[in-house]
Amino acid sequence: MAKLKHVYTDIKYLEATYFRVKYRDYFDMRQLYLTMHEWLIQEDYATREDHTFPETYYMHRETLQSGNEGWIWWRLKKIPNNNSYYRYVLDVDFHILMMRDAEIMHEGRKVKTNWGEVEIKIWAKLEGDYGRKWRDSTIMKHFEDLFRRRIFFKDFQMHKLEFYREAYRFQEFIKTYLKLRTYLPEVENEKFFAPLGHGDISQS
Amino acid sequence: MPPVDVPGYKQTIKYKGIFDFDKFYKMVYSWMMGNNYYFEEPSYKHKVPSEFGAEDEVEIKGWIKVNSYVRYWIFVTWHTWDQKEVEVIKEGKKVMLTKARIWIELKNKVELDYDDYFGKSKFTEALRTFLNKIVLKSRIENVYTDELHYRMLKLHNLIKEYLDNETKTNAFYDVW
Repeated sequence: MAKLKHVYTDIKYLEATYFRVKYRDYFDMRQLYLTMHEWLIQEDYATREDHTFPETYYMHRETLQSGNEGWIWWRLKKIPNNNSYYRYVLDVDFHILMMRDAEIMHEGRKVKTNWGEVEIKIWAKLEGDYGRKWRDSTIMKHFEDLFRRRIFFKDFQMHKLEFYREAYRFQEFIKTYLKLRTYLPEVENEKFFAPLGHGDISQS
Repeated sequence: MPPVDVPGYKQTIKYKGIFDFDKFYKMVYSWMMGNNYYFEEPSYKHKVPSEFGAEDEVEIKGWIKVNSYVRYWIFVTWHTWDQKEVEVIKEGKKVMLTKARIWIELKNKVELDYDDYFGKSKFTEALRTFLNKIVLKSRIENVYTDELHYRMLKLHNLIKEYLDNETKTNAFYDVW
């Protein structure tokens, strides 16, 4: 019988955090998609070359009565400071429901936008021994567990905290874009990207 | 077998009126960070179901390590309805505040053996059960759950003070 394996089977990871942001109102989905893509490039999770961007799944379904539905999966990885043992794994899932085109008045002008619901789920995980150098070595594989659980433990915890902060900066960025309430003292995207995808920031 | 949880009591606050929602949100965050809790926001939902206002659902949780065996968790959940931004004059100045109905729930739990040291075999799990139910029983009931409950009451009172409730006092402010 075939042995089923999950993508995270045999992967040694430590979950830094998980969160989701769900929004249902008027917003520009295309601009949200592009803005998040831009943030990830600026934070070195991806390059500007489209063919290397790790969008592993894209589904778009159109219905007459319920609007458009979409699923988008991004599976991003980043090696911080050329580290040879661990890396950051960021999984981003979009679920878009009831999306339809709409027009709103914004600052005295008619603006084309969308109305619908978007749910963004983000898992931030710290992956250890990503190159399998320890696990595939005849001698080192017997010590890998010991090193990860005891010797590298504090180091791992420190990097997990660092990644947790980075993930919540990303959440702050998304919430600022969607004009939701935030709590971090420093706003992540400030005035660089127009909120909700509406308007020219030079006018605000 | 996963770590053992000892749930605590639930506290609820309901409020209808005008308040500064941004400051309230930052206040809860500041309290958690100021008390060295590891802060997480697993869910934030926002929608505008009707012309009466927006609806938000936010879940917040924070944990703090007491020692290598025990961890305290506090969960704050709030749900707002008919949320609208209103302009009011406060202390002679015009400020934007939020008019809404808000329901806040505070829960806590004491997590034992959070690293699952005793979860490696049936024998160690049995040892853990013996430790929790016999050896550490009085300490868990009289110290850990008690301390966490009063710590959470401090946050509860802070929220009531912020919303300017009539019952904004804490008779146990000096406990723990």
